[in-house]
Amino acid sequence: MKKILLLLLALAVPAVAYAEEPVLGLPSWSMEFKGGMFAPALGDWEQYYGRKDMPQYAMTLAYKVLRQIEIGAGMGASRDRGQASAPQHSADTGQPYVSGSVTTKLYPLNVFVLARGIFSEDQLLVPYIGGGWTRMFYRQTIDGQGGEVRGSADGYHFRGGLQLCLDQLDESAANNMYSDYSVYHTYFFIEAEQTQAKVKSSSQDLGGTAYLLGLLFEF
Amino acid sequence: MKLIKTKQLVLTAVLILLSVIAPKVTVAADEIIADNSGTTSCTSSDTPPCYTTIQAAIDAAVAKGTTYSVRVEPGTYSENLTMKGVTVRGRETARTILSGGGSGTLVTATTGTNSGSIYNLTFANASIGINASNSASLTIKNNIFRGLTTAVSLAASSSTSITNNVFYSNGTGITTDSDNAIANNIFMSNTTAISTNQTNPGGITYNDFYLNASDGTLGSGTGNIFDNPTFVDTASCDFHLQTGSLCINAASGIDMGAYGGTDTDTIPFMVAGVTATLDTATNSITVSWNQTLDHNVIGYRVYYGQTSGGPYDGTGATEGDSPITVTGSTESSFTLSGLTATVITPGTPEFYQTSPLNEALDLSWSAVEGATMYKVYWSTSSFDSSSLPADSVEVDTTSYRLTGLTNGTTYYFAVAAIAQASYYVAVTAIYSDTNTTPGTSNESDYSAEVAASAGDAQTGPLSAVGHDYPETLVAYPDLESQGPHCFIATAAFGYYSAPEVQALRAFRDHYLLTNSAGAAFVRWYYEHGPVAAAYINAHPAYKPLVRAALMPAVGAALFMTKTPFFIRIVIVLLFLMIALMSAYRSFKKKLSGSGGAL
Repeated sequence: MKKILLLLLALAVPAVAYAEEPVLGLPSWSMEFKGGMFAPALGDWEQYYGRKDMPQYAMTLAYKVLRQIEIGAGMGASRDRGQASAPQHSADTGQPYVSGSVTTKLYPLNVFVLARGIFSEDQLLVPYIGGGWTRMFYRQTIDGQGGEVRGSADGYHFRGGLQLCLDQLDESAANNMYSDYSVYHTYFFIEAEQTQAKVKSSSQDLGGTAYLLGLLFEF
Repeated sequence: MKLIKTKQLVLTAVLILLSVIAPKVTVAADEIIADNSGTTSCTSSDTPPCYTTIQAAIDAAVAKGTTYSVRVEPGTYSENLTMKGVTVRGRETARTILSGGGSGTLVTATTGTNSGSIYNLTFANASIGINASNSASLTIKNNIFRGLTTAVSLAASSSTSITNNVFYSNGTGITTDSDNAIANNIFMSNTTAISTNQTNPGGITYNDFYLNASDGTLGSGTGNIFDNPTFVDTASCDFHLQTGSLCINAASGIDMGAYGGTDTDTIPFMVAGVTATLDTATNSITVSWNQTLDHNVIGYRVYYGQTSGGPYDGTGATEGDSPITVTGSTESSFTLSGLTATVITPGTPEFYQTSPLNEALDLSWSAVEGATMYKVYWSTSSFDSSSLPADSVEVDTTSYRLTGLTNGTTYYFAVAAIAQASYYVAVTAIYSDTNTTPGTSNESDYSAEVAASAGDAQTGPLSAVGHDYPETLVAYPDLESQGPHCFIATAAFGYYSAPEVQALRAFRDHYLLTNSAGAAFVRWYYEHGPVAAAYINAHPAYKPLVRAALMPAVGAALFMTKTPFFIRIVIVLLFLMIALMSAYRSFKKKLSGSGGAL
């Protein structure tokens, strides 16, 4: 474990070899596009939807208050299709009885503060951690039974991950990104996100754990 | 010595004579196949070798030697070909199409040695169909040129011959600066049929010119006519000649156009409009089709069998085993009679697990060998094979959804397999009554297949009778739409989607929130309701009591939201009448009581 930490630290230290390169200035904004799997915290999800997790896609936009501190907002989307419960049949048989088809969609809206361990514009690996307020919008439909159920639940989220700066892998592409789109840096990142959003009336937690990867553009 | 010399002379003479009078044995040149259909294997290692582009096939033929030619299978080829001295021949003229996507030159021949022959192709949708120059010596025969800016463009290529082609709806049919042999062609609806700088070309003979804006300079050639060729159907690009066409035998005994002469493709167009109708009284199937107008067609061949898609190896029809030849191009129907197909009684289907849904049940069962249909029975009371219910439906799948049911009511259901023999029929058109193979020679490809049942349907035994009841489903997680809701009812009935809660919610939406008094009550309820709901949740033992107390309200809500308006009015009036009568009786009783006292 210590060796891994030392390695990460070594990678986070600014690379001296690039010290003489022209200074482009500092980016003010960042935008993320990410996707991965979201495992709801609800314990019986697999029983009704056939698997523990579902795909999630998200994007965020953040403003850099400081080079190391960002505030921003993001929106995600998840969708899963499974079966509903037949409560009377469950009571009759004495065991959970599933039937029909249900579509559940979750759209987390996150407002967050993020701290990034960046100390040089040439830093290869950038760890980050953050969190903030979450409003989890939901949509739910049982096929052939009434309309769509809509609502939302408030909560919070934490997330952390590691960004890999891609600029040094292909410097000409990085230069083009800057000259064509004013993108200072492009990062590939992986992150874990923990969300809690409880429905007030039932205390059901629509949050869960997401493992995501994506691209971040600083501009 | 003299005798020997005489014998030698006689032998030599006999040999020379034999070599002259003996029939020439034409060895078919080896073929390279071009096939872009993707339906069959096509690789260079096939026998014969096959390529997916015509140009690759031409190049392969050139590499193998001059005896090789290219056979192009039906399809649309978007290529710009360069001729290299080989023969390129389409299998079916109308269906073997070289298309240019609206521009370009489809075939180019630039020298005499890099020429060759082009047979049985359709050229379409390009600027130039064939461009020959610099002493190119092409044989262009039995092709169709349609919708091109210039169909054939010849420059310094006097050895190129153009015979038995159709030029339809082009800008210019042929443009040339030489005196080429242009014979037996049909030019129709072109802007200019032939454009030449020859003042008196002599090679333009036995062609038909019709409805061209300009026929061009035709010179002193003989046999040209100017009549309607009466194609079968130009809209579907069927340029065969109809019976009675003046182009038939008009070119020294052979037909003008793309389907005349010795190199024409002899595969008729597919027969269209095929239907098959079963006559249950006689167990016969009447097959009908659209009569073809192609004057070469001498009849039809009716194929039948009990396997969809073939082989059509049916037997047992009074008229004979499959296929049956129907002579006469004007025929358009044929009856297969005496088809006594035997069907084995199908087995018993077995129900899989049923799925309860809201006011519906999903049923599914095992497939039974030989079954062509399944009959599903259902009822609210149990039944068996001797007391089948009236409610039933026939389906050709192994699942069915019973809908329009009442939640909570038990339904009984069963299914029986039905088997009935089917005959599958296809029809071909034939040019001759010799044994041929559909789609290859003298016989068109199979028409679209049609099916008809034959014999009596056999119903198998009834499955075991199953039973289930529909109910309102609850999603996981059991989420609710935001906004006010029935706190107490939700707490009492256990979940938000409970039908009783839904009934109260519907009543609220339709009758309370639509007026100020009702809305005020709802506001009051949502202010105080959660307290009661929390108490009920904390004391589950009270839930049955609350449920019982809510039942009249639930009943009234159901009555108001689920009962048709007319029924509601009738019932309300009935109650009013009873109440009035009761009040009247009570009043009368009181009156008579008072009277008595008086």
